[in-house]
Amino acid sequence: MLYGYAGHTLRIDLSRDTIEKEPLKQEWMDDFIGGRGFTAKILYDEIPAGTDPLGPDNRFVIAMGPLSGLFLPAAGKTHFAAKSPATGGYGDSNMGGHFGVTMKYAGYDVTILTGRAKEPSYIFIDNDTVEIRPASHLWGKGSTAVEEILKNDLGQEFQILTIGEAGESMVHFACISHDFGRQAGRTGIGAVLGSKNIKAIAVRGTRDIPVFDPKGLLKKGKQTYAACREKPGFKGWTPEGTAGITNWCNDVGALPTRNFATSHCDYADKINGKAILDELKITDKGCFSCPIPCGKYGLAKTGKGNKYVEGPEYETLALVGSNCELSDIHAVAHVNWVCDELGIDTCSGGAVVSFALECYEKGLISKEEMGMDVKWGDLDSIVYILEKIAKREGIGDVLADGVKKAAEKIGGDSSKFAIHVKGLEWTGYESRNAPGMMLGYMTADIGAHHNRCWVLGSDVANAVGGNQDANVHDLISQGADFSVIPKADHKNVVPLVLKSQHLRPAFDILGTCRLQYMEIGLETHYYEELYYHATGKKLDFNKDLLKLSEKIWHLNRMFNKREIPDFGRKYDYPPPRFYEEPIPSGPNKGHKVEFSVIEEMLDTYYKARGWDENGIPTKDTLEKFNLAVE
Amino acid sequence: MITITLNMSESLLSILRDAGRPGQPTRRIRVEAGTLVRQVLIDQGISPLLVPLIFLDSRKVSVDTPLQTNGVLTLHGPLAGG
Repeated sequence: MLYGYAGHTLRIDLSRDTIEKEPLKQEWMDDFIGGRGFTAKILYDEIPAGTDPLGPDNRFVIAMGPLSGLFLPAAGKTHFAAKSPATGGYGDSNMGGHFGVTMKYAGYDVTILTGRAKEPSYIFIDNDTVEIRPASHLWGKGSTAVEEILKNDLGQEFQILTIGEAGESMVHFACISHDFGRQAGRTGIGAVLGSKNIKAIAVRGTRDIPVFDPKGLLKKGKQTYAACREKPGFKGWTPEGTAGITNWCNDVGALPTRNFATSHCDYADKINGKAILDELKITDKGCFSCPIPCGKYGLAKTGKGNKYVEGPEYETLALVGSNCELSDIHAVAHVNWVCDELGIDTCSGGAVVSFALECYEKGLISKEEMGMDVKWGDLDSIVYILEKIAKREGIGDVLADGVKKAAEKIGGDSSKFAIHVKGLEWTGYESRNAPGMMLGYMTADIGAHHNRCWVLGSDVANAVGGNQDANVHDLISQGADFSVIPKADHKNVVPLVLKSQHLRPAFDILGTCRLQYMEIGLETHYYEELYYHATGKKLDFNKDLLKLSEKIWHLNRMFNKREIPDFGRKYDYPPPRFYEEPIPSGPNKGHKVEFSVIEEMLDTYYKARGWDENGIPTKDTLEKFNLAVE
Repeated sequence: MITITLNMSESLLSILRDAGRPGQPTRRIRVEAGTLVRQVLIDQGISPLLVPLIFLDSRKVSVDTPLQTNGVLTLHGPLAGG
């Protein structure tokens, strides 16, 4: 008897119009456990080498973990993966909400889409009933409208996943949306779904998930909730959500501003968590079984109308707000809504718009090419560019492939301020004085994504020491214009980066949110015990789970080596802006990362990982992790 | 003198651990009435730059808040955005 898993893989070949339900592979469960482990294994094994990310041979994979959907805190995470159109390498993204849980209740731990539907379609799943249905009535519609139409047609209990117009146009940073405001945003997986002519997936699941020890799991689940409530960090992040760190990022000189030209702005108080509470918020919103709901649902009011929107989260405040010089919280929230409706990742969307604004400012994109006179901090300009991108109209068609490819077409010195790694746009932490964070971004398998590694706090501790009262906020508000934060030392960052890079996948594998561990401090023995009651198997968090995390890093590196021509060390370099231009203002004024430091950090990192000097896992390393890959 | 129960979130404790200065999730300290939160942090060896969120008896406060009576001071470290 199989416990903790629904027990099945759903395979849908859209070209052949075939639907198959097969037992979940024992090898996957034994060696890769779930979620991000499954997707790493499936993408490497099943995507033919050299596949076009937007071609029919690419796989769109949905995977849940063994703890997904069970009675324990925040067990509602779903993992999506495909070969990325943004990077040409391994791509994935993670989402909360209720979609994956419902897929598991319908009987499926893993769903794999291949091929391309003959016409715009959506996938209907109601337990064993799985159908590919016409979706011409949904094509061209925004995310909210699609969810409303399908829920009204099928039933409110159906959970909906959808792409917007950007996914239909195969914009390389198109996201997928769910639950009126939740997104799996990164690596362009929405474009992959669009390339398959799939507008949406609707699912209802009413089955139980068999567990090894139901009474034990219920008891341990209650104890885990109680343990969460008793932790000092329990109440901290619900009031403002992730937006609560906006001022902190500004104070420590990490807030991307004006396309990462600098790392500090003078209007952070207008676009922070308090501004959301004062101006936008209607209610908190949480994912499945979450004890600390961090989502904020609110109403954005601008000259463009009133729009209900979930967010903005910190990343959106940073990349749509300060990075585009948008200093009004309603305007930022409106752009958030536009991105959600069009199905554009707000991280890459904000980064691409800010790149376009700088190109326009420097004359690399003419007014004729742009189609209007666009300005920093102007809501109309930002929405205009995003709509052009979603429709792939004019300059939007160039920008729709992301900043790396756009810079290759635009030319001039635009590649120096195209802020990305491997083709994926950098997210909300300017890192010229954060060497650990920078190394984390540089070496992430999917490109510059903060959720692969987040050590910014340790970088700041490294820079300011134990008890230095840098008092940055006061100094800046009093008009200080000098470097306040000392240069951070890069010598000892590799162990911290590796630790973070191994910890974070653990929760993506199990199917839970990481915040209960990262913020609340829920001890690892809870995860080990919950896993045992769910599956009947022993799991040592540190020995087994973190080792699997490390194995996945090697496997995804090999996927990138196989799929990206000339892949290696040069794909790990940050954009030239970060090593050529000192930060011009704010608490980190004057700091940049020297290129020699970048090389030194990579040398140390590769050696610690067991990779050669070009960043490729050695034969010994692959054998050590029982990876028979080339 | 007043008694302050000083709580620290895991996100802060983990940064302090990595910096070689492990702390306790909860401890009690005695300070003069009127002491600023900022001074408490410095006395504990914690840079105010590492503490983006501070709650005094469940109410959000700034580092410049004076501690006047016995209470619970909860310090939250930074955390990645969504």
